[in-house]
Amino acid sequence: MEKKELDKAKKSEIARKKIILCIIFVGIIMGGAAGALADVVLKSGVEGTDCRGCHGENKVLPEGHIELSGMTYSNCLECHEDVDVSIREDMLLDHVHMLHGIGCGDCHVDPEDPAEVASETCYECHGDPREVAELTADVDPNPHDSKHYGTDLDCQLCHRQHTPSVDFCAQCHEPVDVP
Amino acid sequence: MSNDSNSTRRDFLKKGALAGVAAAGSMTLGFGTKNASARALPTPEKWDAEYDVIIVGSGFAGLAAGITAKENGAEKVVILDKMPVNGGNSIINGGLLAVVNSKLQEKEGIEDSVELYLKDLLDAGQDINHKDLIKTVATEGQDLAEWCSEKGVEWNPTLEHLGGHSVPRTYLTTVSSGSGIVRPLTTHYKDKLGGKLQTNTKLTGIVREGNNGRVVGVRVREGYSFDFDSTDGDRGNTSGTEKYYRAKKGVIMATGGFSQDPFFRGAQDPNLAMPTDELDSTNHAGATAEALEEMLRVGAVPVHLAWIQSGPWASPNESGFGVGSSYQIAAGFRYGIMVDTETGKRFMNELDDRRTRTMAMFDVIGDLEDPNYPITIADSQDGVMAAGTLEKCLERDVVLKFDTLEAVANHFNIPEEALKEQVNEYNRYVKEGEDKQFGKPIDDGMKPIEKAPFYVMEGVPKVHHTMGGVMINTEGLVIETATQKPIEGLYAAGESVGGPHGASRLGSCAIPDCLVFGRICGRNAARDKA
Repeated sequence: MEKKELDKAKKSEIARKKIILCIIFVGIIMGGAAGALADVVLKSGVEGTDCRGCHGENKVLPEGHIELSGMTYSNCLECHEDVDVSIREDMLLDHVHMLHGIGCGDCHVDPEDPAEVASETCYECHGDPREVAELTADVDPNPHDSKHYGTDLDCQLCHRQHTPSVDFCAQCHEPVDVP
Repeated sequence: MSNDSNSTRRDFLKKGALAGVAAAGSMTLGFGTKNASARALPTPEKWDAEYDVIIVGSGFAGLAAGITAKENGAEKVVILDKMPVNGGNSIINGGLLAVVNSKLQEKEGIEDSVELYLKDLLDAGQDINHKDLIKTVATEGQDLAEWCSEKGVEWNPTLEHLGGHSVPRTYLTTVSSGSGIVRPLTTHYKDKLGGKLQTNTKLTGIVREGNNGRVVGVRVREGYSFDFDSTDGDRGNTSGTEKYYRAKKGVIMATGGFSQDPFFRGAQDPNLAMPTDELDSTNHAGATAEALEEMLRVGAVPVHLAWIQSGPWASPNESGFGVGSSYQIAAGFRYGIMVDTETGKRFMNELDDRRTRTMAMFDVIGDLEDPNYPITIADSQDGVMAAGTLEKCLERDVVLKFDTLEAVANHFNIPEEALKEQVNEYNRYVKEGEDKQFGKPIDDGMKPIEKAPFYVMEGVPKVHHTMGGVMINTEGLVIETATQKPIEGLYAAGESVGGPHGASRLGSCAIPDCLVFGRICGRNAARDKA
């Protein structure tokens, strides 16, 4: 009972601040993309929900947002399941990974001196290219199994972690949403 | 873009223009530049890697060279590519290969000959083709279909008939793309022959011994990251780390053309000087001139640089080559007619060479700010329904379907009676076997346009192929102006070469050119006693 009321209260709060949320998130992420978050120092070993660990005293959550510590990504989705307040669209992939408990050292061999991550590392969790291709089998053209490159493309060509993802196929084809 | 980054790029371009001999500062000390024609890099004190044969570019020509280099005994062979993916234009193109006296021609009862093929090539090329080179392509290219299928390439069981060819002689991959050739050849080169392929590695210089002697290596940027947001061909990108690679037997340049290079293509034809986001091309973003410029800088003879071809079969309703081009080639132009929507009349031979069609279409299109795109109209005859990309074209509204010719006329505001008259006239010619209006070759497979539904595609030419490049001899060696003789150790093949196609390349003749000369260069470099 109590949890339901708490959820309801959170949901109406979010509904009220829907527009502000979007603006702030988009503003922060866009600002980040343009380098305004250049003062963010990605630190290895920081917990996914410890925003201050990398962002320092910069405010990254909207006013009144609940404390995140101890939350997992699926906890976020309990409130953020409404597509109007989707966090996934505005969140860089490194944040999504961190909220799933995947830290810098899980992909970078040496997080203190991070180099480009090979696609093989992505396969360890996301499955091999064949399996990934099945996930987008209904997308045409299938970005993960195209007639030009088959399943050969490196993940990082599209899926960026610390900057917004891009659509490699959009050079010629209609752009699609790339997570 | 801030002013700061613009001025940084301009500064770099200025330095780049002076940098014929410049390398890292210390490298130029002590190497005299008294010889004014010497623009190559001097031999570095230390090489970062050593190979027998270095191939620059991983498309058709580069792969063919890699394969024959390995087959002819070269142990350490590397194919370099500046992009993050391999295959350049080759992997995204139409996958069309012209072969004379082929097995499919025999099967379809088509009479052909090397002489007829050469006549077609020279007609389209306006007779300025380097005949020694194009003869080599025609004669040595007769085994290409089998050479490819031995390595896993799959071909359609029927031939295509492309514009400018007197008879059908074109093989098409089952996937309607050059990837159907590139991917099996890449697998063969890497897995069967143990060849190395390294992406993100950009050529920035050619090293000649003693400044104008033999080519002994290259300078590259390893870890180069092409900027796909650039609109000037990515000039000024200095990402990556500078390295010197030694080539003990030879360097083979298979670096493609410059359709996506606004500066270089604009220098040849100012109408093409617009940035890449304003003037569409069928090419991949990396089709730029810097490797060609480097060959010219070390002394190669420039050939036919001003001849730049646009493909007449593209669609204004999608980017690049898209799905429409294959349809237009296989069906729209072959089994249909192209009309000016303002008059309802044909205005050209739909199977003429590319240059003629492009110019005729641009005439009809008029002002690109307010274009009058012509359309092809085809019906549901067998040849049209067999077009591999028809379904995709319909899904993406690149081709529209109509139940009647009246509906076509209504949709595009075409004078209905004039259109019907034109279709009837064309149909008479098809039945008689002779197109008295524009001389389109009529073959037995073509039927009158009368069976509903009707398929319509808007057309626009797109910058497609740069016929010009460096001069080579029939052994693939690059010729220099200073001595009019080959530059020892420097080979070139494919679109980076000028001469085989003359003024205008015939469709499906690029792949045979790349494969034939790629094979020649690889074999010769491997056998070089250097």
